[in-house]
Amino acid sequence: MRQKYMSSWGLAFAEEREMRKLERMAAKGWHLKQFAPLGYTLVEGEPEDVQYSLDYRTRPDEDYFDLFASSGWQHVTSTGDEIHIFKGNRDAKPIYSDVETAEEKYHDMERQMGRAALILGILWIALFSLFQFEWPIVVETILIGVQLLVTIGLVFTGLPYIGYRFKRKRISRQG
Amino acid sequence: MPRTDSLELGELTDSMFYILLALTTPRHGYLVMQFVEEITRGRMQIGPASMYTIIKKLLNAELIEPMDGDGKKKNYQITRKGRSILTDDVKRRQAMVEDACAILDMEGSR
Repeated sequence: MRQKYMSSWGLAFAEEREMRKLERMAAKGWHLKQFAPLGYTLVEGEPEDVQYSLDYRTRPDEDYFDLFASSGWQHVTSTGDEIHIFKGNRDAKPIYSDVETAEEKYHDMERQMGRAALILGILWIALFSLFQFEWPIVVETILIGVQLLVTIGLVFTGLPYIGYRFKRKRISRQG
Repeated sequence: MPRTDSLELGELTDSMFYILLALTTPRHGYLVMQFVEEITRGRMQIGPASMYTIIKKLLNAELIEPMDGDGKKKNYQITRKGRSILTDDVKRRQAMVEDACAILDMEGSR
C-alpha cells in the first residue's frame, strides 16, 4: 500500500485547518493512518466522505473510546496517550456539544506548555546573565550551545502556549 | 484546577443538569446521551468528548458514583450530594423562569 507524508504546522495553530485538509485527502483516497514526526502518515485507499475530529485527553480509559464509537466516531490514531483523532460520517454530531467543555479541551495543554515555557524562560534569563562575565573560550562555547537549545525549547513551548490560550479564549468568547 | 468553574459555584451547566437527571436511574455513558436526547426531544445532543469530560467532573465532585457492574461498560448513579445539588439547581432555574415570566407578562399587558 502506498503511503504519503503530510506535514503539520503544529496543532496549537492549525488543528482545524489540518483536520479539513485530512478530509479533503480522504475524499481523494488518502486516509490518515497515524501521527508522524511533525506531521501525519496517510495511506492510499478508496475515496471516502468523512470528517475528522481531534481531542486532547491524558490516559483515557476504555469508556472514552466506547463513547466515541457509539456516537459514530471511530478511533483512528493517538500519540503519547494524549492526542487522539477520530473519524466520523458526515452526519456524526460534533464531539463537543457545549462551550464549557469545549473550552476545557485546550486547558491542560495550555497549562503544560505555559509551565514549560516559564521554566525555560527563567533558565534563558539566567544563562543570559552569565554572559556578563569573562569565561574561557571552551566554557563560552558550551554556554552559547546551551543557550541556543534553551531558545529553541522556549519557542516550541511559548508559541504553542500562546496558540492554545488564544483558542481557549476564542471559544469562551463565543459562549 | 486553579480557575473556578460553575460547579464550584454550586451551579450546574445545562449539560450537567440533564446528565444528573439521567443518572437518577443507573445508566452507562451512552444510555445517558440517548436519554438526554429523548427527554429534550433532540434539543440537546451531548457529544462524546463533552460527555466524558462531564462524567469525570461529576465523579471528582462526588455528585455521581460508579456502580459495581458485571459487564465492561461502567454504570453510574447520582449520589445523595448530587441529588441535593440538582434539587437546588432546579429551584434556581425555576426562580429564574418565574422572574422572567413576571416581567414579560407585565410588558405584554401594557
